[in-house]
Amino acid sequence: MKLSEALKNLTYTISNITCDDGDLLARLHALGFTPGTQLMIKRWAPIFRDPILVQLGDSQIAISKTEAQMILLNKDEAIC
Amino acid sequence: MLVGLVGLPNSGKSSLFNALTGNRQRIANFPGITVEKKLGTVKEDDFNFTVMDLPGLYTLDAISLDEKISRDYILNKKTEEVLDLIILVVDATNLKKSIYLALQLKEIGQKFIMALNMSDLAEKRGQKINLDKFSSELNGVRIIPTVAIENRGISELIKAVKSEENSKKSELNVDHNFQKEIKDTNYIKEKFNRVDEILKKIIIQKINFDSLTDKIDSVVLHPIFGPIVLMTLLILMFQLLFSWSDPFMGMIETFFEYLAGLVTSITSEGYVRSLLNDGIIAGVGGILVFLPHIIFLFIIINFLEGIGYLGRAAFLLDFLMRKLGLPGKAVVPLLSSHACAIPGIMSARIIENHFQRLITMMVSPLTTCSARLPVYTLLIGVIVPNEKVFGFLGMPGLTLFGLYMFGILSAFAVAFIAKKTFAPSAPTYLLMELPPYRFPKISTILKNAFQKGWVFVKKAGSVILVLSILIWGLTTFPNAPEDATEPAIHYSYAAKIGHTFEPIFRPLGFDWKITTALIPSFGAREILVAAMGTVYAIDGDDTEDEGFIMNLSNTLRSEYSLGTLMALLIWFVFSPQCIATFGVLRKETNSIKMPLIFGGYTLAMAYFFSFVTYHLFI
Repeated sequence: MKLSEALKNLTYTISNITCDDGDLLARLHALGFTPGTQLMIKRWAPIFRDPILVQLGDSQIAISKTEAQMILLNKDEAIC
Repeated sequence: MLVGLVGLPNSGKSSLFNALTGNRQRIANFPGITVEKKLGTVKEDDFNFTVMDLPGLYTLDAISLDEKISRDYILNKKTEEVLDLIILVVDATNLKKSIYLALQLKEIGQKFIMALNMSDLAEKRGQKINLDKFSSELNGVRIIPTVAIENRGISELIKAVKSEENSKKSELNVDHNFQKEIKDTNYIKEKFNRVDEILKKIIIQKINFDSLTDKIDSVVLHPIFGPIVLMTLLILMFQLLFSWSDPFMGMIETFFEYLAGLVTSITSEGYVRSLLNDGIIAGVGGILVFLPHIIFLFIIINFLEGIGYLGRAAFLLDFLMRKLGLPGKAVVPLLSSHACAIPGIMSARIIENHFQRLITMMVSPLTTCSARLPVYTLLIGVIVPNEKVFGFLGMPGLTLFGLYMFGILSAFAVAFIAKKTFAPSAPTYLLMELPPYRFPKISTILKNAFQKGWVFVKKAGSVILVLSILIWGLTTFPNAPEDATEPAIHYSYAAKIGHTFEPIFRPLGFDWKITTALIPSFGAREILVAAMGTVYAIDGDDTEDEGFIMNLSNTLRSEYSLGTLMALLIWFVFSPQCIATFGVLRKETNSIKMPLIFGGYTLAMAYFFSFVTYHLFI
């Protein structure tokens, strides 16, 4: 599943990042988008749900939809 | 001793810089680029050193211009200015990415002290860290907890710097493959695993979820309330900018009028008085009159940024602005430019991407600044009948609204075309951390705003003053002959230029008188009204006097066709103005080419649209 298709307030784990642009990939990595990391969608911007606000560890990251499509996720098992 | 402040964006570097240096700061640009270089001196007893506030970065794998500067300093690539020590500023509430950067510094062998900033906030939210363990995990790095906005931990930090004073400079161990290696996914994975390992060891009690930020965001980023809050804040900002600046601008103007009166009383009629009054005092006054706008705009922006709202505004507006090739934050310079392009252009600094910042600066002056209003009012009064349409909408008001729309839409159009033409592949994505809400330190906000104002006076002021005196010279020399029958300006170089260029402006319906009046209005658009008065020898020079405006309006109505006046109106939507805009573009882009390109393209647009308008209405 892509980050752009994920649901709100559920925990996912990043499985892969499909990005050919080295600079963009570096930026994604720097902000903490690395395979194995857990994330959760907090909210979406008003128009076309673009960009997306993601909770990643202790920080909140805004990411535009096109870039969110490059981030592949696995849904975590419900913990509670 | 030169110490560099390094850290992630929003880690509180600027606050720490202020806490360390107090008032001993100076601002310059890094050579050749528009990134601000802040230097300051730290003094405690007989020990002193220099601190440099380096642009924020996440990793040594730098992408943007700002990050590359920081990286080059960290890697000691700037041979003329080598750092003796680095203070790594770490946001205690957001450790992970900072530890990643710390590991990279360790890896290349760069010596650093860690300032664990906002440690009070982290504690309040329940975080407990084992500092000794943290230090030993990073091979004994000194870690000083600080609360920069409350000046806490600062003297401990200075002591730590002092203890490093006589130690040897770092011998960097940078493999030439390093830049490639840190891009590698496996490297990053491995490093982040190491970060997680460290975090597990040092954290005794985890930080609580920031529920306040979440609550505020649920309103501020709400699909319906969010945009309403945003619009309200933007309108409020615009209103405050006008209402706060106005009395101060009035005071500055009164002061310079007083000064001019003083000069008149102690000098005799002649070039000296004229140069002092119409050249220098008018020029300096014309620079200082921008100060209230600049300072108030930056107070507002710094406050919104400090509190954490600016990033939210960018988030809400990103989709719309991205379609135009601009970032969400560009809304601030574009809106502020409606008051005045000078603070507007300066506020483009909040845009991180270099190219987007440049485009925003280049198109912002197309929006309708307040200096155009007197010109618009005069010309609309002359050409637009004071009638109502649909029973309640006044034609003059409607025309004015149309001119505002024309300005902002042209700015968008030019930005869009520039992006498609010059950087079709430049990234427009949004990828940004939204910091938690915090209450900023007011003194830091004020200090920064005044610094911005001072830098403007110092750097842009010289350009503005020189051009003002040049224009004074053009409109004053040569003097009118003894037996002159026409107003003095008819004999000046300005009139000669007006005559020379008349053939070029003929197709727009402008005669030499209009062309001549355009020259002094380059100083400031509103001067056109007074300049027209001078050219047509209308008695009096009080441009707010109704009789004066009436006489001038009648003259214009009888001398020119509707086409000419409409063309003149449209000219002022685009015309390359004013002097101060050129001064500030020169300073902010740190280039001579950019203001020239700006002059060229606005001139071309002004000519084209005036030409079309003239032929539509003739």
